[in-house]
Amino acid sequence: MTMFGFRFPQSPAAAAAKLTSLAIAGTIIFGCAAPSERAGKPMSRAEFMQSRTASPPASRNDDMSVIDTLAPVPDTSNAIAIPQPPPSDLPIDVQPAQRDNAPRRTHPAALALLNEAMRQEKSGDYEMAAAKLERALRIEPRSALLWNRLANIRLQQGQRDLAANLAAKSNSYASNDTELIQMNQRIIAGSKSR
Amino acid sequence: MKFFTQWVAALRYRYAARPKFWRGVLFGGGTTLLVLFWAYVAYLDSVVKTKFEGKRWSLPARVYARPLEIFPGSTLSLNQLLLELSDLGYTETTKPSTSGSYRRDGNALSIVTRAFTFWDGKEASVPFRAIFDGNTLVDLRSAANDGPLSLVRFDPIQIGSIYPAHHEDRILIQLKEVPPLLIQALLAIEDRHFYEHHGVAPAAILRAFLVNLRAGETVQGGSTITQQLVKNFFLSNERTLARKINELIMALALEKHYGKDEILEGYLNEIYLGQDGNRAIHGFGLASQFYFGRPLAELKTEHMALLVALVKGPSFYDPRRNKQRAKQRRDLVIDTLLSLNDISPAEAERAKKADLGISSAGSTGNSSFPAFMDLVRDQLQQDYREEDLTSAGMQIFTTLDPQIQRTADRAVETQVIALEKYKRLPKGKLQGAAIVLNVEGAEVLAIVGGRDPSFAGFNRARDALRQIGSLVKPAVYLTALSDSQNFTPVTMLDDTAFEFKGSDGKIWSPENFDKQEHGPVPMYYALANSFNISTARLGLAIGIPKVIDTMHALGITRELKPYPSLLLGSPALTPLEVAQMFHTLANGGFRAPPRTITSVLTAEGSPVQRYPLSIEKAFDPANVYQIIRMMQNGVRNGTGKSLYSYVPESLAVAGKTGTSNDLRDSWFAGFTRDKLAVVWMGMDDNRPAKLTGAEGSLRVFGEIFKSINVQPGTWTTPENVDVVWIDPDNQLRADESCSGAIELAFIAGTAPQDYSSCAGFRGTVDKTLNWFKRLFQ
Repeated sequence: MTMFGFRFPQSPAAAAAKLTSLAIAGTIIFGCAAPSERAGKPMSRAEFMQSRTASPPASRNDDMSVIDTLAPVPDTSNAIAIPQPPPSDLPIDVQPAQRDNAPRRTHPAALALLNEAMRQEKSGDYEMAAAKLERALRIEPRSALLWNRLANIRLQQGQRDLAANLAAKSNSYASNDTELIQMNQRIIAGSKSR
Repeated sequence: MKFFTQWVAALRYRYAARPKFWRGVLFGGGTTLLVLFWAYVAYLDSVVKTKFEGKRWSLPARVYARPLEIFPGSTLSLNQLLLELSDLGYTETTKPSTSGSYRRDGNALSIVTRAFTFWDGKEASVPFRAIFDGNTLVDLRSAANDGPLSLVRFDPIQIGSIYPAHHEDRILIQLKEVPPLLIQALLAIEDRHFYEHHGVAPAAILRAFLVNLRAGETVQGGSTITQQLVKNFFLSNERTLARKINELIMALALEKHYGKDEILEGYLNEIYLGQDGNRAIHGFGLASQFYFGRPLAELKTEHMALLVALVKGPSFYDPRRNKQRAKQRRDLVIDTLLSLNDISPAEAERAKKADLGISSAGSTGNSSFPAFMDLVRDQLQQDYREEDLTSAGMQIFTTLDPQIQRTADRAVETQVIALEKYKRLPKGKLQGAAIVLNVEGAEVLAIVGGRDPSFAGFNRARDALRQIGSLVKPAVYLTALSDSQNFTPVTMLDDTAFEFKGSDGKIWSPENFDKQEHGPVPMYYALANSFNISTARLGLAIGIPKVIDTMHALGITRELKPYPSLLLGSPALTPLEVAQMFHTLANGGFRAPPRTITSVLTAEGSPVQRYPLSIEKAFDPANVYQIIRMMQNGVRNGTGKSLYSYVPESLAVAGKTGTSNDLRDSWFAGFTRDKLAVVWMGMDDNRPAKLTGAEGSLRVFGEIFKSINVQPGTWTTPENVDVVWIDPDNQLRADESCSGAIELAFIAGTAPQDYSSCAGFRGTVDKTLNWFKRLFQ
């Protein structure tokens, strides 16, 4: 980064992290992931969607609409009347009605940011995605889902310890959401199995 | 020298009678002079070129507060948003259509935000309407198509800059961003023939002289814009002929090399327009912020006229100090614009009637939040070179919440003064410090370094090392609870005096604050009432090194000596360190270093660095949850009781008072689900402040939490934890109906089984069930 003739220092840690994530990506792409890595292998977006979606996954994966930050997002939990498109337009299952335990409810504003983050994650823009998720967490700090997504991004960046800590944080809000807890456990196990 | 004079004398003697020779010398000398002169001109020419072409200005780094983000359901009142808008310098209008304007209609606000570039992307200007119901923003709709909006992010308030040594500050602007009327006004007053002359205008000097003579005061200046730029840019302030000649030569050189627009743009950015303490306000971009608290593009005729009026003498016409003088000259500029038909008579009339419109905030550079800026600077100096910080115009985004900061400033200031009176302390001596964090992000929302919030001196929150007293106790009890086999919140402790012989042979015999012994007491009760004897006995039983380990795991990096007195809070820590310690508890056992900076951008808005959220699991959330429950009880029934005269019980504050020996330090550390604050009060010279934690710092905490938005409610109960009602009379299970029953957390399976007699029907049913269970086991 140069400006006015000055160079901004890039931290060696950031460079190392980049290298690590490249290395991990390489391992995954070339299909020679060590067994120990499988436990902590990041879920692909499609996998994630599948696990989050109530409707049959096949019909959904290729047609993921991303909600714009400023676009309306339906939310049954909110007292404010926002016009509600059919539930099938929702990219992620966050409807409280479909779960018996409450913490799955995600605020529309946080949901909009989550969607942007997932779009950026998909295009490999991990730090941008993390920034979006941190904003979402300011709105919805006790969302196990948001913490889990942040953990996933850090894992994909090769920051396994941080990922495990974030996954543990997600677990502390997950109540009885066994799916989410399982995903978090995989991330935690992945960090320990090195 | 001597040789030279002899030589000259010899020459004089030799050529005394030769006039022809003298003519030759004159001619040769003249040529030499001419050559020298041209060399000088060439030198000045190159000076002008190098400076104008290179990095023209060093731009201080700009530091911003957190951007306000609003969404339907935000805990935010209409008045709070109005405060933010006023800080941002938004203008109230009848029909908000340009960015940075708003209108209020009863419980609704129509706003047009400003576009702004953040680390994670550009935020466009958005016109919208927000409807409020009490403390909640209930509806957010686009003003363009009435569609609902899920989220709106405002531009951030600038809270400070990081200056180079010469303290010049400016906001760079491009000519195309400058309103045409401002340029018309500037040229009308300063240089009417700017686009015609070659840098110097002898005719203009004469004309100005005549005009001024007729007006009886200086209306026009003789120097062209180019000359003024040269003067400001390259030359000192001395008034000598040599300097004037330099100015003329350089003005001509500048005109030769650069176009009029470029020179004008340079002028608009360079010109000195005011003083803010030791900060020099340069250029119209910053002047607009400095005087009106808003960008140039949002200025009205009267504002632009005032800025132009200031060119002649920013100090003499200072609108904050010399209102009348400033208004007179502003109106003169307006009249001039009218006479040139640049504005209509009606507009001139209106503009002259308008008041000066000077913003009260005024300063955007010399931070009104020096204590917070200290932390920002600490972090930046770790990561950047001083030179880059003061010259590259970097944009620093921070976590500061200006509204919370102001609340905290006020709370410390008013309570310190009130307590001084109440306790008859010497006036002006009692000090205070406070830190407010948000829990999940470990973001520093506010930090108060002393009783005078604008004083940029000793930052007590960061630097004052003070004994923490009973604030250490949660660490002692957490250490015990981590051994869940042996300790639960109802484990009985012995609160009878004892003597402990240290390795140095000294006898240590702690006393309670009330000088009483309390016999056998359950753990939660000893913590709530901050008993010293039982805590010391507990700490010695589990081992001081273990307690030290806990403190380190909570985030204290400082070395802690394993003296028994540590168990009662002899270590001295800064309020910031204490905040880190309690934050780890508030955050459910996840340690996170407090953050002040979130991201850094270049002057042009491209990303440089981000400071991401980082957490580390340090404790079993279940044990932390147990401590939180015990600390909640300490506020409800123990030493923190008076807090609920400030805030509603629904906030379920978990807190701890702290008082050091002889009442030298008064502490309160407490948190809700989403916010944490640590407050300290005491004297700088360490003399007794005559205040316990509850008498002093708790009040400040109460004042802060009374005024800021705090989420009520309790924490999510971890999976392996049972929360049960306990009868305080016998530490047996109770239910809500038992008088004085309290809720405590137990690791699954460790709660008392037997019911107190007060637990009516439910107790009986459970008792029966238990009986059956045991029967079939």
